[in-house]
Amino acid sequence: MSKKNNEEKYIRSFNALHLSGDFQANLDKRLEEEREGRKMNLGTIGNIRRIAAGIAVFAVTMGSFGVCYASDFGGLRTNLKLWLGGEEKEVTVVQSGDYSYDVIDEDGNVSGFGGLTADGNGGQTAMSAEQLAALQNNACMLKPENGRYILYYKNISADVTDQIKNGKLNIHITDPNNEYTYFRISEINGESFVCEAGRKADWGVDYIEIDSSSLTDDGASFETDCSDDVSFTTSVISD
Amino acid sequence: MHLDFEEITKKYGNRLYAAAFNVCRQNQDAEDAVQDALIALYRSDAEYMSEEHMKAWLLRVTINNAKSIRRSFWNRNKTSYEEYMDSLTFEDESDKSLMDEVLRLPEKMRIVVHLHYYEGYRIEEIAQMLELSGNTVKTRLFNARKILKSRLEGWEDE
Repeated sequence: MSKKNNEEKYIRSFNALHLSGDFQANLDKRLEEEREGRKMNLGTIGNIRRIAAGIAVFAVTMGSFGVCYASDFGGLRTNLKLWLGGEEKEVTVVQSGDYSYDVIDEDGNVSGFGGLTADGNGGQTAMSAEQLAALQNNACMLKPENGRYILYYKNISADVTDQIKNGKLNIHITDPNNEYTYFRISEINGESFVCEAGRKADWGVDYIEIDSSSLTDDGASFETDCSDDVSFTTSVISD
Repeated sequence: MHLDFEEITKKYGNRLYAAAFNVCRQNQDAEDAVQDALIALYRSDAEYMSEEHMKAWLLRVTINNAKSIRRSFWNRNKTSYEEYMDSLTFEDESDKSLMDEVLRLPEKMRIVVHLHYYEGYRIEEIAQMLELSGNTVKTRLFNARKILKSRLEGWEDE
């Protein structure tokens, strides 16, 4: 009884101590600096942002560059299937730079993607169109439509506007064809967002479960030789 | 591994701060110690077996940071202990006396007392956290209790 009484008095006394009102803001600033410091500061190539070795980087430029024909593009071409806006489309992918590709769909709409991945020797190497397509087919895309935010994942779409808090959204989608199904979306601003995907839930994070019952079976599976500690990042940077 | 630092700060921030303040007795230094511990957690990319494991890790790092700050010769315009204590709101005057007396104890004793009474750790757990022997922790706790009993009216024999 005495120990309990002493304990209660001690707790009550030291409960008077609190962090100052500025603490969270100062911490956020330092965390942001840490994140920036983690990225290899090599500038940008078009709209692709490079991130430190060990993390696969994937960037998609949203928005149309106009209607063109695939034949208008020079360079090596690959035909692939890509999930775009909830539809699986046949696209032609043409290399447009060291790390980037133009993506032309059947209707002539043009977008782009590109990225780097760890080469296993501490360096980075450009991802192939097939790797990027597999990545995109297993990633979430967020699109503003008529004042609402629609999440697209393969053939699933969901209005997630009311779930977005402080520009962030954490979701989990059950997909037996995809290892990376825990998505953390942040920096949501118009058509721009950052999406990180992981194999497991991050500690202390609540994920919204997205109904995956309508998922089709023939989703592309994403194979990687990345370690468990590696996550990949999808960056969408609007023009 | 990415952690939700807003959640962690909300859940553990004040407790880490109390531990840090117990060591360094200065509010700004204590906040620095906590902030450094959270940044260390961010950098660590460690996987934690359980929430308890992470809490213990954070406490240990915070306490070590607070000790380092105390040993530094960094001088800056800081709030004095008296000014800060006057700014706090206690439920009862006896609560303020208790804190004052605990913070008067030698540093080695106060950390043990804090981990035992505020965080609820057992002797073996404190020993592991502070990398001390169980006997050392027991002795420090015993001596601290004796001192508190002699100085605090409301402190009971255990």
